[in-house]
Amino acid sequence: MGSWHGLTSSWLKTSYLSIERKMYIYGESDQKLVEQRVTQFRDQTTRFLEGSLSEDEFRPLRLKNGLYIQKHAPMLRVAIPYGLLSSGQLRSLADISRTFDRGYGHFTTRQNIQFNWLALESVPDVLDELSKVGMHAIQTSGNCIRNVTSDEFAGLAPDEIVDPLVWCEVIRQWSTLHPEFGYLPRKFKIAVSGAETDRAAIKVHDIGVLAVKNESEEVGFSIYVGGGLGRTPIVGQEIRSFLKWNDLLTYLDAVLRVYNRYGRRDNKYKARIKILVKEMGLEQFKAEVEAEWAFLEGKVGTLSQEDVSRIERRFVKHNFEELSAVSEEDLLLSLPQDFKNWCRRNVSQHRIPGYSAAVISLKKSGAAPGDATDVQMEAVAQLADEFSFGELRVTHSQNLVLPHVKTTELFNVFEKLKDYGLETSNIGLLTDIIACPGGDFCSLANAVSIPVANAIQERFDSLDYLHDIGELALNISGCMNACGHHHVGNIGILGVDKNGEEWYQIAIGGQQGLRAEIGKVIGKSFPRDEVPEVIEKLVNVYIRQRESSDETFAQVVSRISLSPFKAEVYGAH
Amino acid sequence: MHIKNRQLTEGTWKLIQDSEDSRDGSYLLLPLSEWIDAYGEGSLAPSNVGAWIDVNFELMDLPTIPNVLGIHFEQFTDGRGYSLARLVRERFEFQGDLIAIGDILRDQLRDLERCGFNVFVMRPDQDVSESLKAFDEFDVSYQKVSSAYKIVSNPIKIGAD
Repeated sequence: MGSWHGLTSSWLKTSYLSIERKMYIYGESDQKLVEQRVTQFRDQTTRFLEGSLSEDEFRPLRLKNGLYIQKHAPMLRVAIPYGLLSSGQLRSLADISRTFDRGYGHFTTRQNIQFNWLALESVPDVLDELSKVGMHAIQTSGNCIRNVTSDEFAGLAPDEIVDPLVWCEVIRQWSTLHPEFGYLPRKFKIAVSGAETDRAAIKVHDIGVLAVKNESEEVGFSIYVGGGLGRTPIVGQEIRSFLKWNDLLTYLDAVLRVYNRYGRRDNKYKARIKILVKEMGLEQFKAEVEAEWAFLEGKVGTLSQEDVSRIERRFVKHNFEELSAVSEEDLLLSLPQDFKNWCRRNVSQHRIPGYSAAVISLKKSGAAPGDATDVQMEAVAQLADEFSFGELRVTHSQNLVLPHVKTTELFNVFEKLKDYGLETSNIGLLTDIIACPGGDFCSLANAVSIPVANAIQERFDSLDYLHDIGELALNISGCMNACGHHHVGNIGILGVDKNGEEWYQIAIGGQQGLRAEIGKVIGKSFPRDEVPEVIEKLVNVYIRQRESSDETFAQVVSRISLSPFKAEVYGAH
Repeated sequence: MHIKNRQLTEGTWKLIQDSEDSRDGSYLLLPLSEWIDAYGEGSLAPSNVGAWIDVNFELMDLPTIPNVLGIHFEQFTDGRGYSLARLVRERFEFQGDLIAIGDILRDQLRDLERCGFNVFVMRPDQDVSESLKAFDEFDVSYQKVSSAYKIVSNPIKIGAD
């Protein structure tokens, strides 16, 4: 998460007003497809409840529509394609949480939202409500191409080379109810980024798409394959350094077809594309894809400028004002310290002068990471209407963003956030914990996640100390499936089961981004109540050993190795 | 009863596994090797006798494509048959009857059709006539499909209005 460091001269010189930011608005066909999926699912649910569709037959159908049967009740995962959300949509989510659930929703690491307390019978009605605001749960689970994710600052980040949003929408449409890829060996996740800093974790996705420009300024994509977390964490590898933009979908078809035909189906733990790439070898896999693509290149799925323009036109434009840039000094002058802290941590640069992106932390100490109540969702929707053209983003670290706030209005936004407990200034800090719902909700989990996150947040309750530690990604997963992305946390915590008891294995040195690294386990695991103290010891080593406040936790681990951390935690041997 | 070109059709295709299986029946799908032995490269095979392959069959190994081809699904969740069907239609420009047979259920019919199947021999417990509704569940789809294949459910273009 890039913090707000005032303004650099390089981007002041460029006017970006010609490429105004925007939101995708459904056309008639988009809307019709979503409505017909609701009707289809209602019929499928009815046939299941009547008994003409067996559990085994209904399972893949409901999963492909985001519906899990969980510990307490079914869980519905609603798609927020590439994390882009309107105020009206967020209000509808608030309303659904109040009417059909328990008044809150859980934002996930894949920019979706989950409802944990629905009744199976009510799910078609929930989907009906969602369809009215152009939302759905299509392909948020199941062995299919999942909801595409992207950079939460897409279209506004100063370090962006290509705006990925249009390409995200191209991929969303292509993947939605794709007839050939509805029964893949396993789930399939695609992330798209177009900036120098990777905020979309593209190297830990089945396919990572990095939008780039070649020497002739033509837009194209670097394609990474075979990344993923879960049981076998692997960093994705580049399979194609430059793919012309019009070949995007035929190339994706080729990759998916090779995976669909040759991915393992005998063992679900070896069924992801990363295992196929590993077993085949990158070169062989690449040869298979190229051979397949040779037949598809230039054929029916090739994108035309008209295809892309049609999608571009569906993104409505916001009327950004021509403002003069506000310097950090001017903005913070004589304003209270808590606001200054919030600006430092939660506000990111916008490429249009006079605007900023404000991240709203859903990581207040004591709350479940990523959870928002109906009242909070309503409040954020209101703020989006007042200050951000009605547009919102969901981040992969489970927070929300007001993407286009006038820099001079940030203080007003901050003051209003306080009324709803949403003013926590901890973006990118140790307490901005990524966590899955864990054993409190999920039937797959070995151990709880949320109480562990809360205990750590309580341990580090001094904001000054947190700011002093600086950026540190702490991620928690309740099981090997790694929904909390523990492998790529600077500190990663994994819940494990030891004879029916909850224990926690700790790894350090992981990192996200284009230099993604998988963390290394420090040693034997710990009972739950010892975890906060262990984290504190690890942080102490980092503070003692770092050469300056600019040296990150991951850099220190890589420089001094695991030994000093182990010695601190387990004692000298 | 089976489905052909979205119509209920009398009789059914019978999948012949090996030499022990009886050849009684109006429509027969023979093992590929047997079909090739009987009809060779020729196209003189009667229209009620085809060959079948499994979903993991390597098409490049096929010396000739029978005029009627069945793809056998052991399990409806095995998606390989969808890719195979598209390859048969799009790469080999197969114009004959492409039959989905085996664990074929109502909720997969539409996607199977979009990948190129036009004949469906459903699992015996399925209500075949009720299943026809599956073809009309959507009026739109995002993906462009090959022109080699004629039965297309109102495709729209990516980003269409």
